[in-house]
Amino acid sequence: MTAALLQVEGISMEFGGVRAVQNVSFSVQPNEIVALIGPNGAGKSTILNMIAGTIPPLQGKVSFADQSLTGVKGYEYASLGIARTFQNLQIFDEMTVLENVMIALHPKTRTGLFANGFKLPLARREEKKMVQTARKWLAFVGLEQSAHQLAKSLPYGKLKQLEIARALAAEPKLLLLDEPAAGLNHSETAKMAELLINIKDFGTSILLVEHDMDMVMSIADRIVVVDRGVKIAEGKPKEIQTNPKVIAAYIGDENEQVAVGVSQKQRMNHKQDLVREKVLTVKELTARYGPVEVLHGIELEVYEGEIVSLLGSNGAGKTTLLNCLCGLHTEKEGVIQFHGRDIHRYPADAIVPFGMAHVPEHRQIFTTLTVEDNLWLGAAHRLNQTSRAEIQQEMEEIFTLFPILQERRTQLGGTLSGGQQQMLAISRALLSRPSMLLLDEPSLGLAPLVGKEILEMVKRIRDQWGTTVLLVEQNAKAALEISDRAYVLNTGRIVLEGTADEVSNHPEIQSAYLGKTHLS
Amino acid sequence: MKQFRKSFLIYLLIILLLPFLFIDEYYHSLMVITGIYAIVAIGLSLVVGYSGQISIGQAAFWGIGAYISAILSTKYGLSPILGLIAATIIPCIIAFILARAIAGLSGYYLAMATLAFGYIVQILLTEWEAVTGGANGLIGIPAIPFFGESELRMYYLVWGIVSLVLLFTLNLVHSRIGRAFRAIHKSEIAATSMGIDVRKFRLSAFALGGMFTGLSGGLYAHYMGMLDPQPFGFHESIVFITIVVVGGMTSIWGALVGTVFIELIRTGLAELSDIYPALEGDIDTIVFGAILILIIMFMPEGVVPRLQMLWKNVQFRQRQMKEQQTTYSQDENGTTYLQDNKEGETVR
Repeated sequence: MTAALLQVEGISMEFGGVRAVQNVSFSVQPNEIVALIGPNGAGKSTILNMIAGTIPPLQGKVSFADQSLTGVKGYEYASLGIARTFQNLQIFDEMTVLENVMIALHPKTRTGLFANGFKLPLARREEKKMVQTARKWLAFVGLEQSAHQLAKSLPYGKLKQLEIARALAAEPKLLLLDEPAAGLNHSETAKMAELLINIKDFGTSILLVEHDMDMVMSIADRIVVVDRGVKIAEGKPKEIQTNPKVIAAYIGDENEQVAVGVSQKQRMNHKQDLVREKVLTVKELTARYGPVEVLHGIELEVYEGEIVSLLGSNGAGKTTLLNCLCGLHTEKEGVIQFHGRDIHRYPADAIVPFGMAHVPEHRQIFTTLTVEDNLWLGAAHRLNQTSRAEIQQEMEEIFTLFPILQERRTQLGGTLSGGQQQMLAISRALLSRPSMLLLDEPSLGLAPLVGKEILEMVKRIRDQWGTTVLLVEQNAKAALEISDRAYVLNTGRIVLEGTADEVSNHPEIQSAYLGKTHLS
Repeated sequence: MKQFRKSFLIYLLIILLLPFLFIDEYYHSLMVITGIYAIVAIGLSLVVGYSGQISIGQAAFWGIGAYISAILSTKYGLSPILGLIAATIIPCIIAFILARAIAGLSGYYLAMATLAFGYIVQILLTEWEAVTGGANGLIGIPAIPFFGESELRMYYLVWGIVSLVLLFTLNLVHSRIGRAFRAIHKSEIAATSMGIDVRKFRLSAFALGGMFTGLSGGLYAHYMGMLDPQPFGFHESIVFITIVVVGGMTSIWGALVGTVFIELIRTGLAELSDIYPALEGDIDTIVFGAILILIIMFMPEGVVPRLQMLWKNVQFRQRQMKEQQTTYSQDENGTTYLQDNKEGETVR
């Protein structure tokens, strides 16, 4: 085996006591495209950031071309031959397109402050050469026409190309790309894939984090899969697609069925008892982030007392959809009817009193307040109508559901474990007396058993109070176990809907997570 | 230089001719003061607008520059020119040391640190009586000889220096150094990954800002002929910030325009308070505060960038209109015959 270009040996990272990345090792060979994939929160970006030197690894070692990168300063990476792009474009938008690329030539140029201030001949010559080189790279990605436009005037797809041109201008040996296809449409993604293969042919290796599985499967030479901070598989695209561990990581483990599946029968009974009032109707909902449309014509219905899952791989638009419903995301069009009232223009705080409570991703509890104060804040909008005693009463009721919270009622929110924080977040939402609960990734970042426990709690809440639940969950199998119905999203569209059983047995669900079968 | 040659030539023309439009010595002295402030503003816009740091103690460097030049020339009999050179170099070094000491601070913390520095320097100027003359200050500071000492000569001297500083800075911001500054301002992480040593460039912007401010302080000392610590405090630091924000932080020309704007208001207020004694006192502080709030609310990018934007939009619309007309005439032998003929007639 020839010497690897990039060697990652046992790197680990911790955030606030939580192991985000654990002992991950892999390598990138010269002239190779390696994709780093994994479910949401698996630690992919953290790994990329550790390799790029943005955050130094807690343990382990990264070496590049046989040189250890430990202690190398962030700005020295560029001259070593490592360039990167960012998940959220980091374009200098007040500069021209040409200037953006010229920035990347910085480490290749030497003239200083005074040489440039006085415009000495040396500085002039250097500047001229920089312009030429930058133009060459713009031509390579096909942006030479826009050289003198301000970068912010370019459409999103071209900005992505610009970011790659900028990274290439440093003439790196290794290119680190964080989601190069995110937000691109089909033809733009195809173009991007072609560009990346071109770059490889020039002799630059690529390590990319990407959610567009179709693209990953078609361009990657090798794939490294991480889940919950641990590397779970490595191999060729075909091997990865059929690897049971990978499928389990994305769609959920088979044996988790046993744990949650007990209530299967109960669920069916429950459904029949329902007086099926439509709680939520969504029609032709589109949403955008600036110029990028991320949700296209979403149609969705939720009936009273139902648990409905929103499934789909990362970047499918699940969280955005929830944020649209609860009013956090405002760049949207379409109809959102909640109990017959169109709420799509209301801000988030005005929607809560209507009876919709949102438990956001990563829980967002108030870490510097006690458990009890967190709960009081959940009831904030009712305080002037409801007596304190009444709320106290509800709180006790919730404590019977989550006894651990009662035990820790005077503890600060930040001192709770992840699972307890999730319970607190759900309890807090319940105190707003919701008729409908929106849950965003309640089991994210939790140990599998704890995640399961949380999902069972969700079911108990529905059974006890008849609360309608709309659930976004990475672990599709576990979510489907407690759900009545499910919608599957892929790149901002609903591609599949049906009862939980229909969806879990549908062959499409696997491809929604892991990409279409290779080269079909 | 291509990018700004035209504007710079227009600027030079205005500077050369302005004293002949306003012949009164009173106006000349106002313009000298404006020039002195402009140098500070240009330096500060490098610090704030380009490298994205904040300094609300800039008057301290101004004071250091002023006192160094004044002390060297009055107490040690050095030529004012040498004094000016010292007033340029020493504040630059002090700014560099300060920036090193507080490197890694940003946002509120940097603001607090520079604020504290400003206070320390002003207290030092007041209390170190043996050297600075304390609250009584220094008198008899020699003027800089420049073919005589008339207000008009001083005008050309000061604005000559402003022009040099301006040219230097314009060159700089259009070079790899300026691009590095702007990159850091937008995103430190992205700049780092492009191979830019963020710390080094923040330091050098801060030091350069201190250098220009010191130079301006030296000019101020020799122009006024006497000094006391009063102008080198928090109030003046805020005036400097206001100038930069009003003109537009991300524009060197903005610093110039902002200075003129603020000095006009200041003069206007001073004259008003001659007529209405009730306005005497710190009325300018209130007005500047109000201006700062209004600008941040309604024109956060500042006057000059806003005007540039408007101008670009006008140009764009004109171009669009032209294009429309040409497409009309191309269509002329097509179906929309009648309408096009009309268009054509009105154009001709």
